Amino acid sequence: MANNKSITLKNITKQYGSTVTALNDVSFTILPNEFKVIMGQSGSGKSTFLQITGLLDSATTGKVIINGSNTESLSKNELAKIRMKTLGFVFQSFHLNPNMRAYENVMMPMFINPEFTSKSQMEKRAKELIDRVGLSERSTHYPGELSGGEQQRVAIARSLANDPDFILADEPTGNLDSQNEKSVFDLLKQLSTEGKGVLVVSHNDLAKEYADTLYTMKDGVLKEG
Amino acid sequence: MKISSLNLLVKSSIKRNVGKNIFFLVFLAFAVVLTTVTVSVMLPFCDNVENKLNNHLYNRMFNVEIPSSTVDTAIKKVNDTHHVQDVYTYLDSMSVSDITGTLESEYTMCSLVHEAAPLIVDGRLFRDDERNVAIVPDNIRDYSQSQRKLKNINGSDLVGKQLTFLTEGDDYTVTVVGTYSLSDPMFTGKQIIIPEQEMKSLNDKIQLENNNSFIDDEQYDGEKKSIFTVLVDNHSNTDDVIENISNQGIDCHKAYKLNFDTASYQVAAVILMIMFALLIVMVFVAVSAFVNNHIKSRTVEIAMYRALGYRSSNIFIILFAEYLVMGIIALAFGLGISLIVLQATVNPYLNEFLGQTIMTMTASITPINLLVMVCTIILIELLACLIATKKTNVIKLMILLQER
Repeated sequence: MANNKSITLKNITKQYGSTVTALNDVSFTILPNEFKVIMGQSGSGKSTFLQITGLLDSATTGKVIINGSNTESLSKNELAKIRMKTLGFVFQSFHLNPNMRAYENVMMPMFINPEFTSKSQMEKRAKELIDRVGLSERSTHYPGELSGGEQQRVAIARSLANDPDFILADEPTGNLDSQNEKSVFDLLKQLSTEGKGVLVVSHNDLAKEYADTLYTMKDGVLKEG
Repeated sequence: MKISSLNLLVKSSIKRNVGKNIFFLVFLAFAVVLTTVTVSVMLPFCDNVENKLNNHLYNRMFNVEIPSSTVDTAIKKVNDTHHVQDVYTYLDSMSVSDITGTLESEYTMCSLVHEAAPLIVDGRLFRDDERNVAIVPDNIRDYSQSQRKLKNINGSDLVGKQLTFLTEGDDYTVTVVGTYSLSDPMFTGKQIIIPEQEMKSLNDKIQLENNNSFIDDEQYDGEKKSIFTVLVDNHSNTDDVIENISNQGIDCHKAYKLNFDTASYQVAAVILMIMFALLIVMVFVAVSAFVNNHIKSRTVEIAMYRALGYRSSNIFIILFAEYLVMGIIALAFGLGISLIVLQATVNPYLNEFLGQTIMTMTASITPINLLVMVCTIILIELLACLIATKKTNVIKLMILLQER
């Protein structure tokens, strides 16, 4: 595997059946330290783009190259390993485990990472990340006891658990009020300045203010600007 | 994945689906009760069929006739034959009639073959060194010549009484000390059983009087022959042993025949085994259906695991651990309930149905039953979780991107 950290999509086309083309010959690259935002109307293909970039689905044609590896030829287990080590996901609906405390949710990706050899090591790392997203007082709370903004911060902390190179965020402020929207974007921006490549798919105009590069998706076609 | 991590995931998952999990626990406990009761009856029943019927003394005994001049060498040969357990002098039975008027039919006086253990219904079994004692059938069908009528005599009514039999012109008085169950197929219902030493004495006496070989000698081709009984270690070896001994020039006779229809018990054993197998299949189908249904309601959770990089093997371990924990809880409850069911209903029924028969048995939870149950639960859950994990492979991870 080459050492160049990047996610590159080359001529990606995604078709559902023979009539619906969700992505049409899309090419895209993101590097560490970059904060890229993709905007577009509902049904424009943003989510399809993110799921292919995050290896949650496969393209009909084209290549997804992550850190030099062409993911087309990788097995399911190898793809899972890339998702564990290289990618961190932030979802609109947070997808936190309601029966785990905040720090335990952050530990979830570490459970399968062989680099963490003990529970105390995982707890230490989880609490550091909880601190980092400003929730040290709330680390033992369950998601149901946290506000939407706090839950999304926990989700961001979870996405950082295995120190991935890239954070992929799908409408991260979609369920938040305006005050929390800003704090979440601030946090994501901070992560990009610290070395993570951050890709945000959003409707939110506020995202434009944080973007190093802004893209627009329309009818499955990605355009810069 | 470390145990502590697994513990956290399993606990959260069990908490998350409390309603469904309680339903599953109740179902599984019920399945454990049904399976445990079936196994608890099936194992001792099959054991009875094998040990008390198939391996019955009469299925592993035969007689050999040996010319008197070669007894010592022939007996040594027989004893040295592989699978031979015991060789002893054959004692013939004798026809007797009671002259006290208590019994009117003709009866057979005999001793017990070696290793026989009659089921004593009333009174007791005699000691080997006792004299003038006997045990009689628990239920005697006595034919009255004078009244030309069959009478049913309860053997227990004879316990403590004396009977005097006319044996080849001599009187022989015995005190009945007990009754034995006729459920053992070696008994015909007409046997008055006395101690072996006593039987030998009687035979010797008659032999002396008649100067004839009443018990163990026969005239054959001008030479006397002695008869001995050979006991084999297992019924499956009897034919081989007979063949081996015959090949050495010794006459063998399979004189003992089970006075019993074992087929019905064999069929019952097979039915029990089929029931157990069907039960296991039904439990497996139900567990699989439940696990699959459960998986369907957890698609987002499982998609999330996959998005975080969990492999199929990790998901299998999580699912299996969850169901194993529930399986163990259900097993504990199920075994407790099974114990009550066995004591309260199954054993009283078995006692009533088979209690006074050779097939008498008690259904209980033995370490083997427990092992069978634990292995069955683990195997069923293992298979169900494997199938379910395979189905999780088709979950579309894109559902994570859809707003709820």
